[in-house]
Amino acid sequence: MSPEEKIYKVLRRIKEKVDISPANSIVNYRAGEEVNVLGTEDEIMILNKLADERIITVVQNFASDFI
Amino acid sequence: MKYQGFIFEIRVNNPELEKAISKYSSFVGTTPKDIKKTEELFGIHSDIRTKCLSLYKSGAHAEAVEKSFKVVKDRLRELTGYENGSDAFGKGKLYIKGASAPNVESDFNKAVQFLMMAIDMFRNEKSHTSDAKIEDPVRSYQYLAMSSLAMSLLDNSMIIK
Repeated sequence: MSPEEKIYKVLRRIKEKVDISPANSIVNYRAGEEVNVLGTEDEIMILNKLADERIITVVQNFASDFI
Repeated sequence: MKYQGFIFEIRVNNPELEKAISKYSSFVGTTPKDIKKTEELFGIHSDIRTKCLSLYKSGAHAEAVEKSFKVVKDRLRELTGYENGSDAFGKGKLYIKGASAPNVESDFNKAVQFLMMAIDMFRNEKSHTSDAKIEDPVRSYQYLAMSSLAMSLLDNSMIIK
C-alpha cells in the first residue's frame, strides 16, 4: 500500500468520526486500533503529519489509558 | 515526531479535511462523491432519532443515551405492561419473531431478552450519577445503536396468548 493510500484511510476514518460527532467536538483516535490494515507506528506518523499540515489539532496525546 | 503516544484527542479543521480527502482520493481512484456521509447512513430507529438526536447533536451525550434507554422501556411497557426485560418476556409473554430458523427461536428470544435486560442495567447504572461518563460521541452513538437494535426487534413482536 502506498503512503498516500495509508493517509487516505486515516483521513476517511477521521471523517467517519467527525460526521457522527457534534460540530467542533473533540474526537478520540486510538492509533493502531482504528484502521485494520495500518499499524500503530504508521497511524501515529500520519496523525503527526496531519497535525503539521493543520488538518487536525492535537488537544491531548497519551501513551497509556492509565495516567 | 512531536506526538508519540497512541491515544489522540483531536479537533478537526473541517475545510482542510475535505481538501485533503479530495487530494488523496485521487491516489486510490475514489472521488469524494463516492463517499456517502455517515449521516445518510445513520440507521438509528426513527423513535430514537426523534427523541434523542437533538440532545446528541447538542453534545449532551449522556442524556441522549439515557433517553434512548427510556424509549426502549416505554415501548416494552406499551407492549406488555412491564418495563423490564425479564418481566416482559416472563409474565408479559412477549415473543419476538424473526429467528433465522425454527429450531433457534428460543435462543433468539433469549438473546433479545438479555439485550433488554442489559439496557435496563445500563440505564440503572447511568442514572445513578449526574456524570454518566459518556463524553465520546462515538461511544454514545454505539449506545444509541444498541437501543436502536432493541427497538427494531420489538417492532417485530407479539404477545403469546
